[in-house]
Amino acid sequence: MRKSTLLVVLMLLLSMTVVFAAAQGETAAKQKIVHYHWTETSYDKINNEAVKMFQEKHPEVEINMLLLADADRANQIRIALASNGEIDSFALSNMEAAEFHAAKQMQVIDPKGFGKSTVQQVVDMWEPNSIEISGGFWEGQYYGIPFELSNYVAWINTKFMQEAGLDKVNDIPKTWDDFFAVAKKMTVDQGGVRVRNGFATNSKAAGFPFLIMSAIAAQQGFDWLTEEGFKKSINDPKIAVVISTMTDMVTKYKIWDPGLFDDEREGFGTGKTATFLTGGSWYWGVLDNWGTPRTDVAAMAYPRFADGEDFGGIGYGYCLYVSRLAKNPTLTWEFLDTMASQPNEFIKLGYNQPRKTLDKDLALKSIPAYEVFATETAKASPILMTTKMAEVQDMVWASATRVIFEGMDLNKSIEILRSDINGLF
Amino acid sequence: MKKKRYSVVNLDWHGYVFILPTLVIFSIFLIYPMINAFWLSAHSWNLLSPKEFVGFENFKTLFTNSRFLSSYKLTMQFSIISVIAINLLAFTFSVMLASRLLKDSHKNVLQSMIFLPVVLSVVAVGIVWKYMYQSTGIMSVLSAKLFGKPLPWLTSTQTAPYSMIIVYVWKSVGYYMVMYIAGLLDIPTELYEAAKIDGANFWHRLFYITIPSLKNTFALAVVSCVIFTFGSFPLQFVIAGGGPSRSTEVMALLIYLEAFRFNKYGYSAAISVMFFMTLIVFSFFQLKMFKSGKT
Repeated sequence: MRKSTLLVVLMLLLSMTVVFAAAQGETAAKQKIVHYHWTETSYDKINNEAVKMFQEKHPEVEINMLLLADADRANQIRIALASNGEIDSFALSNMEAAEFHAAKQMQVIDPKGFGKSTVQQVVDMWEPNSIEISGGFWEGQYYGIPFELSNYVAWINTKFMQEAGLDKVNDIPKTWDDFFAVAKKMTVDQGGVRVRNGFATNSKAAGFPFLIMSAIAAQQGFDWLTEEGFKKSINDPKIAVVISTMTDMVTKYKIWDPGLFDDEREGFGTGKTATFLTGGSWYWGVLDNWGTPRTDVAAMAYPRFADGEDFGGIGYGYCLYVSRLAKNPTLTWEFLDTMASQPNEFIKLGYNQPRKTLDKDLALKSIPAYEVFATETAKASPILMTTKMAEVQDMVWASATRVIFEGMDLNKSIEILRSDINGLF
Repeated sequence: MKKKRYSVVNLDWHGYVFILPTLVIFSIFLIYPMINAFWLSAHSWNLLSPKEFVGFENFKTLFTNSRFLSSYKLTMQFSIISVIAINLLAFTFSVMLASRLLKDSHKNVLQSMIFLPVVLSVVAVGIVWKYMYQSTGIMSVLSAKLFGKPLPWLTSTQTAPYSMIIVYVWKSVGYYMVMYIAGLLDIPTELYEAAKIDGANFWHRLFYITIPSLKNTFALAVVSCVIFTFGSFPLQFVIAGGGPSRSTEVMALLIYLEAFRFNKYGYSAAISVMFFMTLIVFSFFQLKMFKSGKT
């Protein structure tokens, strides 16, 4: 190589190094907060607005909010924490939080981040018990601030009710028997092919049917909040009612063909199912993405058993947490406070944040059938607090899928479930 | 002068410099993860808590775990049926395309059509076939017309595994067809001319010239097909998620679920070690089988 060419190459490399170092220097002057959150089209712009607000107040801080698919978020958080990566804060649901709490991945609330002097003052910024329900309370301490508090209600397409000759007010089902009968009337087959389910849920993601079964279990008087209560219930003969209520929808009442579609939220929005049981008030905002208008939809109380306990759909929530790896925990808490400071923007889309600054009149105006959600919240079924949630969900749902898809006898399937659960715990 | 026997040890140091970048990449992305997987299989780890050494506990568990055993059996069934179907179809297509039955223009179109699925994104293929298999999808509509009622493509544990095989064979056959075509082109035409002169018909030429001459191609195609098929994962994941009722839960998918859904990374690594050992044994016996009787 000629000397002149070599000289040019060396000078280029040197100048690139100088530019790179200068850029690093400029970036290094800004503090960075990396936050892991889930993405949902309707709500992303509100979250981005919170980031903008915080950065305007703190120009020396750069927020990097990673918006991830909800199904992947917990794993991404886990990997970032395990690899001691850059993760200052994250959002977890109460179902996911137990394992992270047990492994001490979060930091206790720092009141200075909220401009308060005690943790209790921070807790009092939210509705009573909302931190506990949404998973932010663990072994006597507060680790998270609520970002969402919801409960599942039953959703029904009132236009399909009318098409089936039902009255959209008086024929709203109140018991499971009513629910099956109404759903049956709204089920449509054409040429031997199911074109509309009377009911549907996601048969491929065990979490959703498990949550429905949690409500059914609570209605049967089972304690599915604690591991001990859960194990005891699996060995109780009445567990057959919990499983058969799901399997009968396919095998007995034939109101659900799992082959029609996967995602029940989308299926309801596109008119492929007349009812579903896994949506909170936030679903109003999600429904707007599809063809079914709000005026054709009613939210109703979860069906009950005529002789069962008075429990509705499961209550759940998400909390925001500061990770053990946070570079500046107090500043990160301040950022999370900003993230959770727009309950009135979220409520317009039906998304409930239990902050005391939430305008209840706006909530009433924004959420169709708000009284249903409010009433059902008070009777929400609990969710199991366990570090083995994913496996439990999988095993419980498998006990139903063996009956639905393999044609296995229910009692035989329950025996397998008992063996699985006893082995797991 | 005695010929110097070829040996890596006798290579000039320049040779090592040339292969160094590949060796480094190979070591980082293949050797190290493999060794790490073996090491991890002796531990219990959920990423959040420290690793706990458990020795062979993970292996003891999986040999008595009905889910693993069922997945292993399913993977073997899927692999055996798919490999036979793919190689039979690929060989048939290659012979058809090499014969004079079709015009050259028709051959080109047919060849492209058969090969096209190979270049498509496997996830996109999975999503499209998932919709095709749904109750109102084209496969259900066609089967309703043919059999009077739609087949439960993804809602029966009896049919779902075959639904996966259909998609996998459709996606893969073009790749092996090209391999067989390349093998056929290598056979000297004089052999066929001489056979014709001797009065051999198509079937004689096929069984006495074509198939014996393609022995090495068969070996390559079958061994690589087994390896790729055994590791099939995207289609089962995208189309059925391992369901219904775990009837499409092949080993690669089980490895994924145990790690990324149940957070049992050590146990998942143990399954992957079993997966690796199975393929090593498979490949060894297959290569031996194809090598024996070599002239």
